[in-house]
Amino acid sequence: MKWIRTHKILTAFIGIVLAICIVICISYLRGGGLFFSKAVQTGNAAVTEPLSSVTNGIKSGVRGIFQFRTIVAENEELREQNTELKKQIMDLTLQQKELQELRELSNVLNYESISDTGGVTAADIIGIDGSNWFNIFIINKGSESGIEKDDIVLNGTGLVGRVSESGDGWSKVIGIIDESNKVSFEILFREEPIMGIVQGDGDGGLSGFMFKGDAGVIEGDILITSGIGIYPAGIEIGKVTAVEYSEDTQLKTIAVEPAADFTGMKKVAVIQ
Amino acid sequence: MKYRIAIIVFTCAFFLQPTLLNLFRVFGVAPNLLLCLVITVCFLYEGNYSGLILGVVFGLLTDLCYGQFAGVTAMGYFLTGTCVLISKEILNKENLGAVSIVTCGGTLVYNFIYWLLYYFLGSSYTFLHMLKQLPLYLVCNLIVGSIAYFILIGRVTKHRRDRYYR
Repeated sequence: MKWIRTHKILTAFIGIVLAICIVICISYLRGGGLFFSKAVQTGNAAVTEPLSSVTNGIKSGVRGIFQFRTIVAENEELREQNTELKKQIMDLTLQQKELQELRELSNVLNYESISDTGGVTAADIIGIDGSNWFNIFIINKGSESGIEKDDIVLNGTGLVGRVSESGDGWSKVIGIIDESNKVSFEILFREEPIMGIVQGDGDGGLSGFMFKGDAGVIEGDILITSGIGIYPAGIEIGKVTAVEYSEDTQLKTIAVEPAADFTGMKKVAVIQ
Repeated sequence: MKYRIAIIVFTCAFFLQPTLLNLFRVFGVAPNLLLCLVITVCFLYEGNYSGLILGVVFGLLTDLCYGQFAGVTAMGYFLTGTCVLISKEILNKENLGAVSIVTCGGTLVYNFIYWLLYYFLGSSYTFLHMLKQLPLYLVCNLIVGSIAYFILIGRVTKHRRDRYYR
């Protein structure tokens, strides 16, 4: 006791460090927040949402002024894509019968696709983690819209991540590149399925491996979710940027550039 | 700094960080307003631990709202603030160069602690990834830290250009 009285500042320092360590341990064991974190987040979402609307308004305004030509070009490109997609819809309609047969088969294999899942909820991003490290963000839809933990989040370009926590009026989303969780994938536009697994590479991208060492994967291949695990099938994950064969493991490893642009997102969709 | 003023300033920073500050992202990197405040307040104010205490409180709130695990940012701010308090024994607080050194040093300490804690908690982010982001992050924090310094130094030291004023 005498030592504590003579070293008050040091004792306070040790006490605070220990207290924070205990908080970290409790949070780690609980797999996320603390007992009162939902109340804090509900309050935070209520204040952040109007601020975020103002920010998005300014952002859009500034972008409109300085990137007018880019937006016009983007519009033209989207028109062309739209025409192409309409043509694809026609082709796909003709294949519906074939799809029905495959769906029956998928039930046997416990395979889940986007159309099999519940509803899709559109949400605005109202707050982004300011650490510059992680791609964690808060959206303005939560448990009142039926969003729960592990619901899948995507945007117009591809898979973004999953919901890690949700409450009234907010959900916390964690990006796929931040997680060590593995995502099962297959390569798009291949007659025979070529499958593998990807996860965050610890450097802002994705890396993974193919199940078969002789799998014919090349740079530029598009990866989509295979439907195995929590992610429904058919969502674009990213593009293969490098392929390497490891003699030791006899596996083909790949580096993947995520399809979703994590820096410029404003809106996302949550699949329940 | 009086606690009630400090609370208002830190609260504003807490809400501006994830929203308005995203407008100023350069190559995906934005300044850390709360970290800059912790460093500047700890460095400039004598006999007052408001920067340290509010750093822990708002660090914890940041973790609860945006972090994967609670306490990591709080620990980062607390240890960074402590290092700043120690460093001000040897540095002149009225010198902008000293403030720049403290801001850069504080940012390095904070990033290292943040990476280390998340590494032990199972994050896949590598040390190299942290280093790659660091130069831009240092520049951003240096700019914001200097602005905070010019706003606060006038309140801490009256007539600081008058060497006869005491």
